[in-house]
Amino acid sequence: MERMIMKKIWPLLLLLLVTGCAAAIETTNVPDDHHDGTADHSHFTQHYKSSLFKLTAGKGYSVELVNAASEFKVGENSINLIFHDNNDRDVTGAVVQVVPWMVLHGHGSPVEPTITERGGGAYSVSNLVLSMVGPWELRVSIAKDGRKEMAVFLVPVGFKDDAAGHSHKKIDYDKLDYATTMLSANGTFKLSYTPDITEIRLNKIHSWRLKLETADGKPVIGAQIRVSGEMPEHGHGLPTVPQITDDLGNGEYLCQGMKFNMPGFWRVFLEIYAGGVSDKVTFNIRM
Amino acid sequence: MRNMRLVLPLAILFICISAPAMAEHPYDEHAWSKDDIKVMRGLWLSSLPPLPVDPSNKYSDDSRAVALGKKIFSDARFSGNKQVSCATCHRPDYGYTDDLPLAHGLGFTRRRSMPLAGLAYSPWLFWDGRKDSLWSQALGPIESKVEHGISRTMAASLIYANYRADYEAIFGPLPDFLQDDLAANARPATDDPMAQAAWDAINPAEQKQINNVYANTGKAIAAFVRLILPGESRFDRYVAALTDGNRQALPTILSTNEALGLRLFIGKAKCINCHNGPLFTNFDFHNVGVEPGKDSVVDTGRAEGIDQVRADEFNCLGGYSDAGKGDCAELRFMDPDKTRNRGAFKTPSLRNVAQRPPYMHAGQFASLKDVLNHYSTVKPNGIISQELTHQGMTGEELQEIDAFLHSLTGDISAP
Repeated sequence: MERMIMKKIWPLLLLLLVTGCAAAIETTNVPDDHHDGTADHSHFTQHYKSSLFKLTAGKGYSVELVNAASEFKVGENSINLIFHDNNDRDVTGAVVQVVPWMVLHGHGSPVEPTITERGGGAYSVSNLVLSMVGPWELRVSIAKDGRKEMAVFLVPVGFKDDAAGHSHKKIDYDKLDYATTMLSANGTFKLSYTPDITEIRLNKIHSWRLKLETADGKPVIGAQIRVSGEMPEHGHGLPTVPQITDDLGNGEYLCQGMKFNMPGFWRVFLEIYAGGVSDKVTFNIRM
Repeated sequence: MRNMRLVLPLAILFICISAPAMAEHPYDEHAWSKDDIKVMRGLWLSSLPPLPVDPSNKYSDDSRAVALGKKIFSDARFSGNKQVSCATCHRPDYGYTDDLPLAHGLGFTRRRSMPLAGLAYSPWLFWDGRKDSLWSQALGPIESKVEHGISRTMAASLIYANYRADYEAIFGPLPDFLQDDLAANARPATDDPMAQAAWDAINPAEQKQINNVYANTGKAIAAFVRLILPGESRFDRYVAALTDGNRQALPTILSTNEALGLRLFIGKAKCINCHNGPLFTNFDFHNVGVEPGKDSVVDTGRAEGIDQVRADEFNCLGGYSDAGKGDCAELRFMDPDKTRNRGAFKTPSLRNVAQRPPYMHAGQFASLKDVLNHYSTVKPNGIISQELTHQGMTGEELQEIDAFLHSLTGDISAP
C-alpha cells in the first residue's frame, strides 16, 4: 500500500519541485523578467534589486551599476556595469567609459578607471578612484555602432562625520551617549541642558536652560557660549541660529531658538569661553 | 520507520509550495517595525498639537473675527476691478489654492498660489517666508498690483463703508476721517511713486490709524484662515488601525502598492527629511533643484524673503503686533544666511497633494509623476544638500510613492 502511494507521490513532487523552486529562483533573481527578446521597447530587465538602474539620456540603453561592496569608499572602488539595448538584449562589444566627477568641487578623479568587458552585457570597472568624501557623479558613456549615449549616476562616497566632511568613520548610533549632561572635550566643563518643552518635537522652536559647571561641580558664571549644530549624514546645520539670550545667574543660561527640522541624528555643539579657557561640549540627539 | 519514508517527500513538497510564495513576497507589505510605527505616528493627523493661538494676533480665537474674516475672504470689492477676492486664488473648491502654475489676480504673479489648510501651524507664509504670521500675509496680496491691486487706504474705506458694525464690535471705533473722500490709491509703495506721494500727503497720525485698521482687517482674515484644516485621510485610518493592533484591517485600508509607497516614503526615498510631522511638512526652506518655470525669471526664494520679513512693519516685532518680545522666537532666531537659502522654498504640506496640481513654486510640474521623476534624477549644484539625493529609484518604486501620496486625501474643514 505504502509503495503505491510513494510511487505516485514522487513524480508529483518532482513536478512541484521543478515548477515551484524555479518560480522562486526566477522571482528572486530576475524581478522584471522579459529576458526572452520579445520585450517591448520600454522595458529593461534589472538583475539585482539593490543595484542602481538608469536609462541613458537618449533612452537607447539601460545601465545597471552593481557594487558588490554596496557602499563607495574613499580611494579605489570596483563595480560592474550591465548594459541592455532597447530590445532588452545584452550589449556586447561596446566602448564603455566612466568619468568620475565631483560636482561640488568641480574636479574629477586623479586616475582613469580600467574597463574590461566580461560578456553577457557586463563590463567591470576597476581602479575607480574616488578621492574624497562627498557626492560624486559617475558619468557613464556607451558607444556602439556609431552611436554614443550617456547616463549619470550620483553616488555618495565615504561617510561625512562632520559638516566639513573630514572624517571617514561611519557612526554607530547605538553606541553613542545621548545624555543631557556631558563633559567638554578637554574635560574642563560639565554642561547640562533642559528643554522648555516636555519632549523635543520636530519643527517646534524651543529653548534650552543650560547649567554650566567646572568638572568638579562649581557653577561657572559670566561665560560666553556659542551654539551650533549639524546633521552629519546630510552635511547641513541647524535650521535656526540659537543664541544665549539671558544669563540667569549661578552658572545658568537661557539658550533660545533651538529647532530640529528633520528626523535622524543631530549633534549640537556648545563652544564655551570662561575664565580664559575655551572648550567644546557636544550633545548627541536622535530625532 | 514507516513515517520516515514520508518525511522527506513531504518536506520537499512543503518547500516547493511555500518557496514561490516567500520569493514573491519577501516580506509582508503590512508588517512594520517599532521604529516604522513610531515614524508613522509622527505623521498621523491625531498627533497634531492643539491649534496654535498666534501671539501677535490677539483676535486669533475670536469667533466674531472669524465671521468677519470669512466675509472679507470672498469679498471681491477689495480689488481694483471688483473681481478679485482671496477666494479667487484660494478656491474653497480646490484645496484653497488654484490650478494655475502662476497665480492670477489683476495680472500674473511670478509664483503659484499656496494651499491654506493647516497654515495656522506654519511660522512662515509664502514660498519665501517673507511674512511671519497669517494676518500679515493677508495684507500682502491686497496691495500687490498684480493681485488685488488696491491700497490699505482703500481697504480701510471699504471696511468703513461695508463692515462698520462688525468691525467696531470687535476692534473698537473706526476713525471718522475714513468717511471722507480719501485718495484711493495711497500706500507706502516702492513700486508706485504716485501711491507713495499720496501716502506721504496723509498726516502721520492718520497714517497710523489707517495702518491699524489695515492690520485689524488682516487679523480678522487670519482668524478665519486659522480654522482651515485638513481632515482624516486613508493614511490616518491606517495608522489608527496599526495603533489599535488591528492587523487584519490594514490591507483593506491601504493597497499593497500604497503600503510599499509608504515604506519608501519613510525609508529609502527619504521624503520625510522635509515632509515630516502630521502635516507632512517641516515648514522649512529647501533648495530642491527645480529650474525656473518657462515664463519666470530666476527666483532666489528664501534668500529674498529674509530681508523682506525683517523689514516688514507688520511682523511679530512690529508696532501692530500683539506679541510680547519673548514671543517672536522664529523671527529672532531665523537663519539669515542668504547663500545657504538661495533658491530655497518653503516645503508645502502633502495632505491632499494629489488633488491640487500643478506643483512647485512656479507650477513647474503638471503631475506628481513629474515631481517624483525630478526627485529621482536631481543632481547637486553646490547648494542642494545630500539629503535630497536618491539612489536611483526604479519606475516601479516611483509609482508606489505616487500611489501612497494619493492616500493622503481627506476633507478640508473650514468655518
